[in-house]
Amino acid sequence: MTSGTPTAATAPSPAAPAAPVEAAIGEFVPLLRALGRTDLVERMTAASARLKRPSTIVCVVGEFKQGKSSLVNGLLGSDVCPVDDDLATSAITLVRYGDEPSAVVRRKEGDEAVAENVPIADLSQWCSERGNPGNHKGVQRVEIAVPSAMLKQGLMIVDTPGMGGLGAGHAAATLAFLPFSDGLVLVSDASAELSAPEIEFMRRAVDLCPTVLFALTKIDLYPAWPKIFDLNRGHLTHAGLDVPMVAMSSTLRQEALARKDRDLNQRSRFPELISEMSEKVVGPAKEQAADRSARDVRAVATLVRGGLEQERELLADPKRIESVMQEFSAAKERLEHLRGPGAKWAQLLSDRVAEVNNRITHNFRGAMREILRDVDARIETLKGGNEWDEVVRDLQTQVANAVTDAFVEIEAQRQAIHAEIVDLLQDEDLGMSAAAGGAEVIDVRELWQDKPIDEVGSRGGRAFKTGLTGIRGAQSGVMMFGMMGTFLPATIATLMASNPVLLGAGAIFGGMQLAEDRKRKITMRRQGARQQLRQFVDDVQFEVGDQLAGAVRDLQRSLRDEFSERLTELQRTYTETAQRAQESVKKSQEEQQQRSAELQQQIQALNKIEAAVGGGRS
Amino acid sequence: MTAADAVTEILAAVAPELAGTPFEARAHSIRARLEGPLQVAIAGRVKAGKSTLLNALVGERLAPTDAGECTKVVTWYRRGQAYQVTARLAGGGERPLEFDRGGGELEISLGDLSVAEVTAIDVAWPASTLDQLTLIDTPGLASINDDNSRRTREFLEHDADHAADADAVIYLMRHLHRSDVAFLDAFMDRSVTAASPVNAVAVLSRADEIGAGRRDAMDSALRIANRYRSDPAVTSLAATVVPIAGLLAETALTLREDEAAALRAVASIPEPTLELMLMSADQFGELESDGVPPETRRALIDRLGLFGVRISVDLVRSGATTAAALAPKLLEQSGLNRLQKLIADHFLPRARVLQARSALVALRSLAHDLAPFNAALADRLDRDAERVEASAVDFARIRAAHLVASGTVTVRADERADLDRLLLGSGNRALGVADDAPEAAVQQAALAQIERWRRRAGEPLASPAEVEVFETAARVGEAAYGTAAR
Repeated sequence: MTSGTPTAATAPSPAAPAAPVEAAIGEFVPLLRALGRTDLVERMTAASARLKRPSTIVCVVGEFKQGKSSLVNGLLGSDVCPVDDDLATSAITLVRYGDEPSAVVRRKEGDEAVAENVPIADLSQWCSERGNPGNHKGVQRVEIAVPSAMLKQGLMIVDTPGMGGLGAGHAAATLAFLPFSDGLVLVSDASAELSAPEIEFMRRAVDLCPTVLFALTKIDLYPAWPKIFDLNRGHLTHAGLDVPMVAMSSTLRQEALARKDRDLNQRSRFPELISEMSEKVVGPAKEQAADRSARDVRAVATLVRGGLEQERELLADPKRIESVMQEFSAAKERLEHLRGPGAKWAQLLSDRVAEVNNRITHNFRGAMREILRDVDARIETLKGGNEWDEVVRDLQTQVANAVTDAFVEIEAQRQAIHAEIVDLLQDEDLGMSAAAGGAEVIDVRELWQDKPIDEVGSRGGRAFKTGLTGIRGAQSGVMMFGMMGTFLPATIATLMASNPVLLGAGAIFGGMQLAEDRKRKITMRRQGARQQLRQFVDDVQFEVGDQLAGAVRDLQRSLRDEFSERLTELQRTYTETAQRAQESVKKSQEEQQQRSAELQQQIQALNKIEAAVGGGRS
Repeated sequence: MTAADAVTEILAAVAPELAGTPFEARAHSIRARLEGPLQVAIAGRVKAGKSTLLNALVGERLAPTDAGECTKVVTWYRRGQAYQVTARLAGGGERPLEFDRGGGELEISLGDLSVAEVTAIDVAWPASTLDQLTLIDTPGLASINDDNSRRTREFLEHDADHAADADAVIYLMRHLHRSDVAFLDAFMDRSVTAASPVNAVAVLSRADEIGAGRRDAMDSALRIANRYRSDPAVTSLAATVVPIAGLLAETALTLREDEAAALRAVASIPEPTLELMLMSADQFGELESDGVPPETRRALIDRLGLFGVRISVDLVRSGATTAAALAPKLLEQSGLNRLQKLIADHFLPRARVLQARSALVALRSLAHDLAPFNAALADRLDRDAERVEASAVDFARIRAAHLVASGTVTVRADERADLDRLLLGSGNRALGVADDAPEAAVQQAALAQIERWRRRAGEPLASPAEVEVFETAARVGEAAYGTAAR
């Protein structure tokens, strides 16, 4: 920790695992440029960017008015999230790094999705209850970019709307989003102990999210905060939750930053939170990103080396030029065909996507039908308003689970389809075959076979055993949260507020009603409850169905793009190697020797790069 | 005759016949409740500041308050001749409890009883506020300990056979989100079926903390309360919303001279030390300073909170240097006066009628249980109760007022004020004329109301609830006409 310097959050990078990979890319790029492979330069630049800024999502959640937005502002060291005594955050707000501060409001106007740039100062018009009561502006989420050192490491902070006493909707939406996020900060202020719903939320969160932190806020205001802190620790321990706890004051942090007062900053205790987050959330994410980038480097190195070695072998034995050229043009032809629309893998992809689409839709409908049946049965025996609330809470949890399952299934299918296409392409015999005579074989499998990320991310909780790691940070997660976060709470709130089973605040006046009359009313109310339930399930199916279809389309597009790009890279490698080889063999003996030495040098450089990222041949 | 009087009359009439039977005590308790002080429950979520507010209303530090969740059992505070604490046992019966008041607050020992064995604790205390009100402290809802929540719900819930123990409810809420307000609190207000805009008020509690203890925190809280007050979702559940800084109120009422002296000393600490001290509770208790020892400062912050200390320093500097001068100013800041006025003006008169209503429910329940033993008497009680219920315009008025206030029946804006006055006002003022207005003027006003509301009740599209409200309004007019003619 840069101990106590009250500058905007500069976090330490523990055991920077990214450094060797970054150095390797640094050496690789000039080599690729020299080889004229601008396409691969691009790929390596992207890998390097990912390394510097792995996408790490941390959600800040808690009940209303606990100081979530203040905490986010404290972390960033600037007042980007609107904070006010009488103003609660109503829209999900994503804060990520940007060189220039900017804000985009994403909302729905009718059926159309609109993205609008707004000044940061005007944000309260969009993402607070006061500026946008009941979200009548249809805001789905707000995206803010700020030049904060903390975010520059690739951190994205999600400020969520308060969850309400018993988690009416928001809790379910948040839980559904957790598999897609890397960390969670549960915020509760020092005015009171953790409540039962908060603890229950934590209990479920630790199963879904690799890192859960607890932050006790507003300690400046409450002299008894150490006692509350201990009580909370007791509650968490009692619930079997071993989560890191920090206490802090955003007010003091703000003062400290304004006065550049180091002592005050220590008193705000933000440095503790920042180092916890760096260590537990950003650090591991960086490791994962480094690993992915290293694999990317290895794949590209394999490809390039294949070409170079082929040329070197030819120079050693120029007689084979004829047969090798045939081999090349055959391979190029195959690739040409594969890149076209009639290729088997493209066919396979669209078949599988259609299947996935059907299966996901079918499963989701089935799950919803089951929920409907289950809740219907419970309504049969409903009596009081409390029971109805319980049913509604169960309902939202079940719906959220069904939606998460659907999205997780899409991600699982992405991996399965990926593997299947790789197998298919393997049979296509795209590598430089051994028939080319003693030449090294390009192992095509290496080109696109990303190892499942799970193997690397074996750290931490049950979340990792569920095979969800692959989808962390996935775009569909953010999308889903935007949808669930606005849609689910609103509908659930309606369900609860228009409680059809409520015997009425007027029960005191109806105390003497005849028993039969009450029975008849209860039957009527149950009928009302069933109608509401159907309406709700209908709405969910409509909204979610749309989003699921979108996610499947996205899956198809991304897989198609990935394989097309890899095939193009491979084809270019063959084309250019063939060209160079033909030129080389025509040259003089002397020139050939010179070229050979050059190739040898490049291959050695490649070996070095590969060794640096833990690959290559010995 | 008011409904309460009618019920008392019925009970008096059957008293001789019940004498010596097991039902005598029950009849007696119904009567005692009617004649006794109003029973007002203080309810709300965990740590909403219920016990602190109770202390502020009593004017003494009675109920234990603590940073942790500390009220575990429903506790009654009633007027008594002597200091006495009793446990009401789950299995029936009572048992006196040991208590100690060394540290200001009551420390009650349950002895060998477990919390589960006790349904309620009864504290008899000679405090004058308790003459008018019996205050009931309830465990917070949605507490960690779910038993506590259950206990409160059982206590406040009201069913057909059993009248709720509370006549009225002061509901404490922290600052909430709008969608939460849509049902005040997803939990609480659904279960407190006895609460109605007629007999419930909401308090925005710990109001000083809403504005982070800044000097303008109470203004901020007042603005928020005003917003809630104009929110139909809130007004359909509670008559109004007032902000209160409970801790400040409690301390203002019990401020000691030595505390005033300590505040004077604090106010004389030079800047910038004082500014740093007033920045956070920890800094106030920890920073080095001559003059005021840290433990004294920590005691001050426990008693006043950061907001209280901040404004006290300002008040001392502007000349309020003694406890006598400081206390009223702090009390004014706390907002307690607003709640007290509210209780006296609106809450109590309405709740009286509800109290009578509760008594009627209890009476019918008594008649039901009595039937196997004395069918004739049970039948008479039942018929009497029904007669009172049918004839008492009071009940009809309060019920109609509830239907309007809760939004079950919506009336035009121009009708609302007149209707509220008619249903909730008393004497001639209900008709909108002065108490000492001449008879002819009163009768004329009454006739106008009768005609107006009869016409509304007769509209073909009116719903049954609307018909009920308008018929009742007309009945109020008739009663007023009759009174004036007499």
